[in-house]
Amino acid sequence: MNEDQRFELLYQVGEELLKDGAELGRVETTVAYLAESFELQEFSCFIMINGIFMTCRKHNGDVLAKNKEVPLATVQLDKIDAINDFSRKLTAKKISIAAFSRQFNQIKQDYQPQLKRQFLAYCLGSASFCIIFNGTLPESFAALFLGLFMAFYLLILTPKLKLSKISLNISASFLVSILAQIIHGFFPWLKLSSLVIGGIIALVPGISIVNGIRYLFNEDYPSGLAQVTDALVISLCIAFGVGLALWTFDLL
Amino acid sequence: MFAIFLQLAAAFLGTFSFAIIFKTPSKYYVACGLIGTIGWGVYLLIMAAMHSLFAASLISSFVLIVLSRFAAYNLKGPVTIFLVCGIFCIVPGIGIYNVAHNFVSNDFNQAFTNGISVLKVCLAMTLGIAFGYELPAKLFIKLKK
Repeated sequence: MNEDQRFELLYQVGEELLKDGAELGRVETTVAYLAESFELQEFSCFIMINGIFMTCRKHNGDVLAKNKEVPLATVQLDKIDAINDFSRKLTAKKISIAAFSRQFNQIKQDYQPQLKRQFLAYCLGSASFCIIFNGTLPESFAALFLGLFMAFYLLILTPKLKLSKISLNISASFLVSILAQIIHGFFPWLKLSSLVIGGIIALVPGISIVNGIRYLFNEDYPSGLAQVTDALVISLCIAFGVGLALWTFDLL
Repeated sequence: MFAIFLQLAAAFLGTFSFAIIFKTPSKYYVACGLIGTIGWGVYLLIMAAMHSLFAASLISSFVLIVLSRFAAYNLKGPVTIFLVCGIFCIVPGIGIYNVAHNFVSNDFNQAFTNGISVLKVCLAMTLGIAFGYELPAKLFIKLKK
């Protein structure tokens, strides 16, 4: 592989890690280690939460540079794990750059939805977090069905609808709260707030707000502010969706 | 006693489920679940003993990052995997939702109070995680042996 191709490959690795929700510092160190193995000179990169800038100097003196916007992350830890695994192998010189490139392209395309497992996880997740936020066992059992609905909506329906992030969060929290209201209507002794919390737990941006504050403390102010703002916008959308559902039921 | 058991079981199942939702490789499911359970156990313990949200968030996130690094060295996975799944019980996701909920329902005093506590939790977790990352890598390599 020539320098241009190695540079392009490195850029794609960084982009993939960022897209899959790796921490910024981690993307930076991984890319820097790989640049050494790829024998790229005067390599420098600047990573933001939604974009990467990368430059290096070729042997003939030309400068290679690339920047691109990357959509905000959706967490996909299996890809991070795979990239981490063969980056380690490459830096330890156990595999060649060509093999690295082959494996990387494979995991980039590889997408296994594992739908059954995901459905189960959404159900159990909603039920468990209902308990953690002081719900009772019957409430948690009801939240199981809210989780099931959420899985159906987020995994089956929305990929077809191609909604924006804002309308996705508003509609999901609206629908799940309507469902929670209906359950509450049939079984009034189940607390509505516990049901709603169980339902929306998969949407709330808890990890992004903590990461945002961490970036701020790391003196990465643009990314930190962007991440915190993103978390605030998402939580406002969720609250708006839930509020709309409560209001609708009050009218009836 | 039953309540505590229920909480810990919920923490295990919850972390386990979110490990699946975040598409963690299946070999890490149980480790993630255990880390989440211990983290939540520490959080509950400190909340019961000291009644301090800040201390509970700080110490439990410190414990979580230490456990995550330990797991990362032993299972040869990135720390991010164990951390992202493990801290899910402690992160103020519902807290920030509550702030937004108070805000849209015009309850600004409550929004402010809740907002400050979310900020406190975030700061505590940031400090806890930062301290945990400062620990020398040698320590974990030794523990492995």
